Amino acid sequence: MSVEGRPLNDTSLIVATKSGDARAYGELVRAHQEIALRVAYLFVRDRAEAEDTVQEAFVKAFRALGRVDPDRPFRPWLLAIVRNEARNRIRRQGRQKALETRLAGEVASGDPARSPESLAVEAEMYRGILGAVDRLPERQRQVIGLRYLVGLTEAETAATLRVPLGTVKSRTKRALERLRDELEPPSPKEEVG
Amino acid sequence: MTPIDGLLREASERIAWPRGVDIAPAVLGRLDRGADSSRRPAMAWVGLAALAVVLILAIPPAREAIADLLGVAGIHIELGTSEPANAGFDLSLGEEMTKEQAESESGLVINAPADLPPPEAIYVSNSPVDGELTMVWPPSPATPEIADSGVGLLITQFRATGVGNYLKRATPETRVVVVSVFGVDGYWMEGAPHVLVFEDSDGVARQELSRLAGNVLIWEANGVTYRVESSLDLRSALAIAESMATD
Repeated sequence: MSVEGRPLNDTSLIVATKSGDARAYGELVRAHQEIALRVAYLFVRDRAEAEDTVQEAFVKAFRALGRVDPDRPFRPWLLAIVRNEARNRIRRQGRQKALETRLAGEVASGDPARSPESLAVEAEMYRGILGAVDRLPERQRQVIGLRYLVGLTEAETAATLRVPLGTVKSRTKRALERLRDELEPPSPKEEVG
Repeated sequence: MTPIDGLLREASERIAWPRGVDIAPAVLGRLDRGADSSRRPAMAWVGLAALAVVLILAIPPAREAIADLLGVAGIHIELGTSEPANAGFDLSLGEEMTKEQAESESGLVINAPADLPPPEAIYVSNSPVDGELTMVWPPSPATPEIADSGVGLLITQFRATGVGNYLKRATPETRVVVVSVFGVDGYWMEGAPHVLVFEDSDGVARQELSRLAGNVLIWEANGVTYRVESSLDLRSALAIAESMATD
C-alpha cells in the first residue's frame, strides 16, 4: 500500500467538493480511507469502531473544508482528525477497552503453501514483535505504530500526533532501542585465548 | 534499514487491519442526512432507485453506468447544509462539549475573558492531565489567526502547579520572560513551539507540548494553571488575562 499522498488530485477533489460535487468528496474519501482506517484501528483496536471513527472523521473534515487551503496537504490534516476522534472514543469507553485487543493476537496466516510448522514459527515471531510494540510506553507505541505499522513518514506522524518532528525522532529512537533490547539476541561473547 | 525496522514492517502486513472496506457511501449518507427537509423527497427517490440497483452496483464496470443513470456522475449535488466544524476541532484538544458538560467533566469553572465574546468551542481532554479544558476562538480582528491553524485564541485551564519551577529549563529555544499576572509571577513565551513541564494535582511531573506556533502567557491561580495562546503581543495577552476572573 502506498502511503504517499497525491497532492494534485487532492487539490482538485477539494476544489470540486467545495463547489458541490458529491462524487469528488467520495473520491477523496476513497483516496485516504485505507490509511485512515489503519490509523483508527491502531488506537481503537476494533474494526467496527475504526470504521465508525473514520466515517465521523470524514464528516468532520467535510464540515471544515471551507477553512482548508486546497493546496495544503490533506492527508496529515485528516489523520489528525482521525486520531482525535479515536482518542475521544477511547476516552468515552474507558482506556482498558482499547488495549483488550492486542496487535499480537491479530496475526494473519502466512503462505499456505509452506509447512504448518514453519508457518507456526513465523506467526509466533510476528506475535512476539507486535507484543513488544504493545508493551511500549503509550507515546512510543503511538509513534512506532504510525511510522512502521501504518507506514507514515516522520513528518506525517508528527502532523497526525500534532507534535514537533524532533519529538517523533526522539521517541522513535528510544522505542527502537527498547525493541532491540527486547527482541534481538545479545551478540555472542568473543572467545579469547 | 536495520533488522528491527524490517521486522516491524513485515509484522505490519500480518495485522488483521480493516481491509477492502469502502466507507465513502456511508460518509456521503451521513452528510446527506444533514440535508434540509426541502431536499428530502429528491434524495428519497435516489434512495429507492439505489436499492433497486444495489446488486448491479456491486459489479465494478456497471458502477459508472448506474451513477450516470442516477444523475450523480458529473452533476453538482449539494451535500446538505451541514453545520461547519468549530474552530480547533482538528487540533487534538479532546472532545467538544457545551459549557455545562465541560465544567461537569473537568471539575473546573470556566474562566473566560470578560472582554471577548464567548468561545466558539470548548474541549475537554484527559491529556496531559485529566480534565484539561480548552476554549477556542476563531480568527478575528481582535485575535488574528495563529499561523495556519484556523484559530485566533486558545485558553487552557487545568489543575496543576509548579509551572515556574521547570519552565526555563524546558524551553531552550523559546524566549521566556517573567511577567506579573494578578500580582504573581506569570511566564510569557514567544518564538518556537515549547515544552511545558509542571506538576499535576497529584504531584506527578507531566509535560505538555505547545499545540501551535503562537505566543503563550501562563500563570497559576488557586491551584489552576491558565495558558493563553495567540498571535498577540504581551500587552494584548496581559489585557486578556486581566479580564479573566480570579476567584
